[in-house]
Amino acid sequence: MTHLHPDAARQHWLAILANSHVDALAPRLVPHLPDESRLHWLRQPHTGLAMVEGRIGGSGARFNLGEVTVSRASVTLDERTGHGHVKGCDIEHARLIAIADVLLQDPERYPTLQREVITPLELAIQARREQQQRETAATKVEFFTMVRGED
Amino acid sequence: MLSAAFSDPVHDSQQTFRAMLSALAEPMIPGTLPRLPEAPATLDPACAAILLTLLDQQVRLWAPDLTEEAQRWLQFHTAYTSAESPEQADILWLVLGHERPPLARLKQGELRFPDRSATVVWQVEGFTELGAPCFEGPGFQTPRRLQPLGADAAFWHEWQQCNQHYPLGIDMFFAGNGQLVGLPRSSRLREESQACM
Amino acid sequence: MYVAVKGGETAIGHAAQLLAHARRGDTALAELECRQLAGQLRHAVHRVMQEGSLFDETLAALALKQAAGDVVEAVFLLRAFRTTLPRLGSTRPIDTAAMRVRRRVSGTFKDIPGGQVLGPTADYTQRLLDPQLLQCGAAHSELPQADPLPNPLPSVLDTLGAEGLIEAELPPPGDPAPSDLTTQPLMFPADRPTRLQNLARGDEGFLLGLAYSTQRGYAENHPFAGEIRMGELELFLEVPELGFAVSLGEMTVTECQMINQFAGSASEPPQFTRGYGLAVGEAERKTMAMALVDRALRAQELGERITAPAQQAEFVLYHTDNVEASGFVQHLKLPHYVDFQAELSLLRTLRQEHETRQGDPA
Repeated sequence: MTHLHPDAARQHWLAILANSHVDALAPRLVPHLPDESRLHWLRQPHTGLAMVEGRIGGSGARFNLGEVTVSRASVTLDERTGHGHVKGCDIEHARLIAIADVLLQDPERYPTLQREVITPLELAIQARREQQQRETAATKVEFFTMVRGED
Repeated sequence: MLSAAFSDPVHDSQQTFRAMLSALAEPMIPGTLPRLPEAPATLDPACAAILLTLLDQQVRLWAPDLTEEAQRWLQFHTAYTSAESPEQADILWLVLGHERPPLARLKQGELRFPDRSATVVWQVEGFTELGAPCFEGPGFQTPRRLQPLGADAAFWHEWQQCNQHYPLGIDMFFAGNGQLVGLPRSSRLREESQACM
Repeated sequence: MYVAVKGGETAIGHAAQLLAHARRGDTALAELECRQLAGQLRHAVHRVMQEGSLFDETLAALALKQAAGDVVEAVFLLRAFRTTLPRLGSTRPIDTAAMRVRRRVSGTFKDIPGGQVLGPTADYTQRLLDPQLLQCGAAHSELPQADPLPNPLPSVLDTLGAEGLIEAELPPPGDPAPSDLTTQPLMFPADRPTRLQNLARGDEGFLLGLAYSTQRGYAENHPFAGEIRMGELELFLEVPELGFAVSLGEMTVTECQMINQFAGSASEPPQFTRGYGLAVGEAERKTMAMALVDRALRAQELGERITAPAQQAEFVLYHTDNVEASGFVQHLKLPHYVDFQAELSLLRTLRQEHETRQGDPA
């Protein structure tokens, strides 16, 4: 991870945090949370909408499919700013992502958080997806031809 | 480093919007804005409250006086779109007395959609009745005399020219030091020969 | 004379209490949890999300619970709620080719790259009621597994595209942002992105009926289901303060690519054309119907004769919305006492004149 462009590393951990269930994230992150009084909320956790766009035929002109709820929060700690964005109405999830994001930018804290929060969450996501893909693959049709006689 | 804005964005912007509606309903009566946000130094908190309330990513703003810091702050809190020219702007933030585009260039709406017109938020130092023209129209029980500091006869003449084709026209707010005055397109300048209260 | 009528507050209050009571049903039974609805009545929840045009399973389940299972009422609740939320932006256009597929079938080719993947479908069940479900607590068996499929699965229509036998689907120059029916009124002629937004939030029953009409001859269509795919894809939102697109998490979508014949025109060679359907959640019937109606609405663009209701954009697009439709139909319940008195009085006068004429020997 440390070899990636800083933005790419950040994009990656934000994706892991948003794709994890808040019930999985919270217990892992809580031991690392700084004192609330040190956090300055630029944007209090709140919920809004994002219009989901599709493309005609999958690749053509853009069109609006409908809106998704998005919760977000922005927090500063020691001159760094963390941003949390996640689908859904769970503002606690967005709050935790923002705090995790600001903590992960601190090179001193990064290795511990990566080890104790991000990596286990990432493994859980991978395991969940692979399980689902295996179950899906079992429903693939194996066509066979009825052979009638040899001549 | 960015700073925060409204402490309670939903309710603060609702209350600001309510105050703006009142200001348009009773033009040229100074009202107060109930919620003032933290704002960058060059942007008066009263104007900041209005901009935070009106702007979102679908609104095009023309604001040549915004400092880079204020621009970043406003962008972060509203995600507004910058207008490429004053003609395209839905909202303009202008400092009264600074260089500005001619009002005649602003969007006045179309007959089918008169709402597709520009709203100007003027940052002002204060208001005075001294030497002010007299206004009348819907929302005036009696004609009233008032003007923001720095407005002159040429300014009012220009404003009058924009609102000749009602329902087309532009709406304006004057704000500064916690005060707010509205001037909708339906207001008119009263002939000087007639008495004013 | 106009008489304003007041009253009914008490009755309305009591009716609301009775409604809440009726919603809860037998209190000897456990109350439904929203999580149960989202987990076990997912098709109903997905439909509320599609037609409510708000993709949030928790809120859709809540709406469904509050509406006691009335889908159209739940859609209304969701539409009302969305108006209270600020719009934060638009996602990057979703890339359905990158979907983690859970179902993918084609009605046009037997052998497709990656194969026909059935997924959780009811298509091959016998539709016999299962009395075992009357009891709760069915045993949970291990699911069969196989080696994962290639990811992502290539699109079936690409094969035809490679030969130039189907119209290309490319973004117009500049890849413009689509107009948005949630902020701009529907105007005609409506472009295809606007039509698709309208259909995506349209009532499934209405679209299904229209789609069926095109198959029965009320439009010149001969459709094939080129590809239907359902699965999960990640949503991304550009965040200016970050300078990159951030993942918001995953969303389930269903996509249907219909293939239709096209005889060609002066400028275009004969080729297949497309109808497109896309919806959030598991929505095979909805997306198939949407794709058929989308294709029918392209009649004018493709120089086809407009003979059927499904080809008439104004007829279709003005009547897809079940919140509008339900409101206008149901408003007839509201007091029309004065209007009706006027009608009644007119009728009495006409009747009197009629009787006078009848009795008049001349």
